[in-house]
Amino acid sequence: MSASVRSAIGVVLGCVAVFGIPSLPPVAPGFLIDAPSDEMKLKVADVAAALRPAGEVDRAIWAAVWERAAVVVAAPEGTEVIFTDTRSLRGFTILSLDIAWRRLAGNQPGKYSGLREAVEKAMAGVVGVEVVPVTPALRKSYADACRAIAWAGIGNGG
Amino acid sequence: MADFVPLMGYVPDRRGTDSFLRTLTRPTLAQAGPDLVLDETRDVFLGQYLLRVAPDWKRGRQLIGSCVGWGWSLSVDMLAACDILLRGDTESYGGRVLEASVYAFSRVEVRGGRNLGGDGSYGGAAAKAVTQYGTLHYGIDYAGQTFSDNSGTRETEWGRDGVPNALEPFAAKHKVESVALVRNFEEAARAIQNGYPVAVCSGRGFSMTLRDGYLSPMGSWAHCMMFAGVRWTPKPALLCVNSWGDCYSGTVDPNLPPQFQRSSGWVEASTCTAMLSGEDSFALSGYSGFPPRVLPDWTGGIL
Repeated sequence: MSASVRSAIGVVLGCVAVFGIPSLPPVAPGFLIDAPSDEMKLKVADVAAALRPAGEVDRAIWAAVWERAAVVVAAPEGTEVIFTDTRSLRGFTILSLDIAWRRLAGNQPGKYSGLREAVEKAMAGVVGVEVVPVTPALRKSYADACRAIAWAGIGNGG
Repeated sequence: MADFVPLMGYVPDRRGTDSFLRTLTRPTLAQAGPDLVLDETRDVFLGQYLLRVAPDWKRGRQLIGSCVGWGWSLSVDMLAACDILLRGDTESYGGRVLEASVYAFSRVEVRGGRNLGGDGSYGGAAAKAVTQYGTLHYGIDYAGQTFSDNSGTRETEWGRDGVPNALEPFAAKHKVESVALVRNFEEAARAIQNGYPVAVCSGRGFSMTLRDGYLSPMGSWAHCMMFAGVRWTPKPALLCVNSWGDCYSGTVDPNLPPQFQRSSGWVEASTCTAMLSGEDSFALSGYSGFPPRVLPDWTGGIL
């Protein structure tokens, strides 16, 4: 993973640190994420179902990391290209989740049954699984998917 | 059983192999992989990985004395599959290695000039070929040139004049990182159990009739093949894949996939050691494959 991607992840983690864990109960209601399209709602319905047993803290962290991931990827590139192809987006996604969801929040793989499959299905359905260059359209698809996954995690849909 | 012609083409060159071995920092498997563990209870068949990345794979037939190209190319194919599926390399399988490329590099470029002799090559030359010159593949567009057929004419011409210069840069992108001399059954089994195929050059011949999947030593073959599996019962043995199509008759090993049942056979440990004692057989590791075409997943096991 490049230093650029690490920098981007740092931004996400900074946001999680600022907006996520510290203010526990009020956080989830504080997330105002626009509802996705009906088509997108269907694609993330399994995410909502998988996170139904989750508490407020996990929901807040979930929403924070995905919503901020969308912000980072949707932002204009600087002079150095960070996201070259979908492999770099995948690396960014994994490291963001690994640090925020697993390491900071302490969630182990498999804690929420069906969550992994639900997210994989949503990402594959919206962004795809091909290794392709990151275009403006693909950035938008990725950001849309992330926002929808975040939206589904805070008690919407499912 | 399909018709076949038992072509061979192993022409040992002790000085050539020794010269290559002297260029290696760790020439033997014992030196290159001291930590590789041998488990005398675990059967391993590397062909399963090849079939997962290439479900339509079927063993072809050499058309000239190019067995060294064939044994080594299949070894590279299996290495590529193991790199992807066993070691998690972020690569994709790029198709079969073009046997003519390994054969020609081993005969011409490795020697430094045209080769006007008859057919044939040897293990040390192939080892140098795949590690220093690389490999070409079937089905890849090389600036307008694509190879789709197994051509004896191409192997003959390239084996005389070398791989066309225009193609060498393409081959150089797909090299084997390292090879190590394998000298006995245990070393070969250790390599295979850890996902490293073994290209074997020897003078050992076999009956063409399988007995419950085992090959019976018979006669002499100056031949290159490859070892793709290890089993411990009923008799310790390595699976030796030939390059004569579905050439064997007799009773097959029903546990092997059909593509391997009549194109290969199990060789007992003592015979394997005799084959490998010629010190011209190598385990391969670390293939520079093709960029991935699809992502393995999006979340990497975090959720």
